[in-house]
Amino acid sequence: MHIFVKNGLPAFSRFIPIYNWFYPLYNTSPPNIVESPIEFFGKIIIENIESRALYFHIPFCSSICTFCSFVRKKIENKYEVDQYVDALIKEINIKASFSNVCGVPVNAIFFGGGTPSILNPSQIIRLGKAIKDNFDLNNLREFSFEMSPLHIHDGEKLNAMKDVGVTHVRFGVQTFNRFFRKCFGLSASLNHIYTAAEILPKIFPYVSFDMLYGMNGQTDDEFFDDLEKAVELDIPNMAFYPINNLITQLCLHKSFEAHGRYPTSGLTKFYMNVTLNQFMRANGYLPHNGHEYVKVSVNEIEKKPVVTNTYSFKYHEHVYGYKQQEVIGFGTNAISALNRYVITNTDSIAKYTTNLLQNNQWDFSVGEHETVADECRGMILHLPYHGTIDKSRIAWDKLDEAIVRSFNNLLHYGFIKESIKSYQLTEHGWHWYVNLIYYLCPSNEQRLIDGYISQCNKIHERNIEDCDNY
Amino acid sequence: MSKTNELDGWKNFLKGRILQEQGNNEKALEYIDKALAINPNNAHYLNAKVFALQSLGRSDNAMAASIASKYEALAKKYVGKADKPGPWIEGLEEISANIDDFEEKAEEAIKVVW
Repeated sequence: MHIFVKNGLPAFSRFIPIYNWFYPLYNTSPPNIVESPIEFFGKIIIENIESRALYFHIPFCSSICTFCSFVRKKIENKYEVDQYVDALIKEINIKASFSNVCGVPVNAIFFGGGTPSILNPSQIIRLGKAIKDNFDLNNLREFSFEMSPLHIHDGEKLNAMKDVGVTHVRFGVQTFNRFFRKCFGLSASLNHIYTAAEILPKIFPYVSFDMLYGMNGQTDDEFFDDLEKAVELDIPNMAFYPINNLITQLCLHKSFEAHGRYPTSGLTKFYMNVTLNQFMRANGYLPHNGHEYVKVSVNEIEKKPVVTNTYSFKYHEHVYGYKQQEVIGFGTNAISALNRYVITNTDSIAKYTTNLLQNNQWDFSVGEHETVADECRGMILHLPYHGTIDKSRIAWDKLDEAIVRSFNNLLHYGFIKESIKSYQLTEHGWHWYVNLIYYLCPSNEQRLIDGYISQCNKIHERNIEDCDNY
Repeated sequence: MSKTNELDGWKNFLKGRILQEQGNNEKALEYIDKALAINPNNAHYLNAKVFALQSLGRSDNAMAASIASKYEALAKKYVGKADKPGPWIEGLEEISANIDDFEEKAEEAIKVVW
């Protein structure tokens, strides 16, 4: 992929068909499978780590959505969820017994899935207590909990969430369009969604919902209809993700093909994102990161910032953050992104649960990377995703030379600009933020991403969009 | 230009883009031109026009749109930077070379942007 100037407009030669990924992917040696946490967690160094986010994975759903690639299964009975929660609490207790795990202040908590709101009130309370008993939550700024609109009428559940300290509730809408809702296998009705939009802001300080765009054959009318209905919900926070055809289920691809709907090209998705930004600004919203919007004051709109700093999603500040911010994950397939290490829990729900309950241990793989990868995090992730980096938070003398060259190229072409204390995305840079992350990654990282895309492309039932830029 | 107008421009442009993707460049051009009528200086619209014209085999018109797009991008980059005459002149020289090749159509395009 290279930068070229297209009739005066700098552009990248191709689009990247994935929109977020964990960095770094590259390990200095093949990942080791570790069975005993004692072998590993005692080694973590926490010097200079300012804050952490905790992630908890709840891999159960009442039905499986066809756009989802996360580790999840359809719930069979309450017992299996009880067992999983017991295992999760054991993992929390074991990890937190190490001072270098629990000794760093927690800034953000995120319950993701699956469908975290499938937990019953008692399970939510037990998990909340385990977290509170084991971690320093004095600096907690955000406790996010994903929920399905199907659970909106369960008052006890909502109270349990509030009791454990949930501040930010996120629910999935994805689309209002009946055809796409059917293709996605979404079980919540539009009435559930409208009720959630009405009730949740009365209970929780922050409410957000997710939308998808760029589905196969999505027309401009369908796209704008979704945007208009999204804004009509009058929720202050919302996220828009382009559909990722590399990870959606094959049955979704078949369904689209059967209806004569072909993948929306990378170029069109790019312009959908540009137009989405204009639409949201015209309706009083500004982006605060690569995917998410927040309702702001008229004054803030008139300032026309590329990205607003009036609101921040703290969990993503850690996932796409500086070297000094880490994430620790709990649960099946949960990822911990630490300095020097990326740790991935087993993706087998059964193995995770059984090993923890019977043996007080669980399988996880440890990938080790060079310290230079951590030094570059702010530049590679925070700048493209959040729109800015603070010069004082980057150790410029420790950066990889190739990355510095790429960075200077981006400055030259006007994707980023410099001010006294920071670098920021230009408007043009914001439109290209995914490509900027890829472009700034070291070549070994880019090769892994390319390899993954190539592998997905080989599955003939999977229709990936045209990613060339013309 | 009001926010509503600007958004209308983008809505027309996106319709044009999707029509282009479907292979209907003639119809796409109609909507891109509607977008350009609202904001004639938008480099993305101009770029899309170039692409549509090229796809339709109208190379002279495509070159005119390309020149307009390049001029607009140059102006946007260096507006207010009187202390950077060098890059501005270099950019203009490149565009002039294009103009020499397609004088008549290019003059019309520059007038629109100017």
